[in-house]
Amino acid sequence: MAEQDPLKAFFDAGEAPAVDPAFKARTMDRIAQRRLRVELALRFVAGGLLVLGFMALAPTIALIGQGIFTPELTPAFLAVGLSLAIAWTGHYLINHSIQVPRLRFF
Amino acid sequence: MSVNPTDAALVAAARSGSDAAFARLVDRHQQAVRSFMRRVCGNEADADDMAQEAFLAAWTALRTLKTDSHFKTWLFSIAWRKAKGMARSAARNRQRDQAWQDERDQSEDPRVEMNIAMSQALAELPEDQRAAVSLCLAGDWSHGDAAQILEMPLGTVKSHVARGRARLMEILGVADG
Repeated sequence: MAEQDPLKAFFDAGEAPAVDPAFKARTMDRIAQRRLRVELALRFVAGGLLVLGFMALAPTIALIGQGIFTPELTPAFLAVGLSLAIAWTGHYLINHSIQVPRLRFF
Repeated sequence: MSVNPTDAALVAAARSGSDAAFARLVDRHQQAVRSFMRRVCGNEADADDMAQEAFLAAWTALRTLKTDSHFKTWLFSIAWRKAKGMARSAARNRQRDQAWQDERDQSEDPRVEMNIAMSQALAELPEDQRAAVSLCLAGDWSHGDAAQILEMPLGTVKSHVARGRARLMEILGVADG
């Protein structure tokens, strides 16, 4: 309708720019900051829970250790440990990478 | 990803952790969101800040978006919730600015004066009415979509749009109807 034209022209004059890389960059920057804060907080909590867990389990682990790490079993544990080290080294030499679990929350 | 992926594809990619996908969503919808915020808030700087807040809130809550929901409608509903509080404080600021406007030189370009008068008229509308006008008259949203975004009954949106349009047409000096 003809009477819509001046109204539409008024609204069109107040439009934001169609392309604004600076706005996009500022927005993505704020998102990155939010992600960093959240991940740091989650890792702090996870670390705290791990520490508390180990503290709770320490007496039990010590008891088990006294029963397991006897002089008779020491050669067996050394063999297992050596095998793991050789396997991991071989994996690295073949793949030229050492993959560790990645904590991913987002 | 295709050259021009749909919003749904970009949302799915963003949910999987793709910042590039979400950046494309920002690119695609920033003009509409910022324009809406500018009309509702009345202040360009505040509007752009609120628009960034809306995108940030959308990114944070992306997992809650239902797969069959329209991303742009959902984004605008977030933007409206962000804008509501800002719109009320903007009304108080306008009362202060009005005194300055009254003292301005009257020999300005008539078109500029008209635009200023229109902007003031838009700013003086109640915030719900201003939002409905911004969506339906400026943004070409349907009344149904605007009702969903503003969380109002359809009849209320139609009434807001009609009254807002009538007021603005009155300023323009054009008969409405």
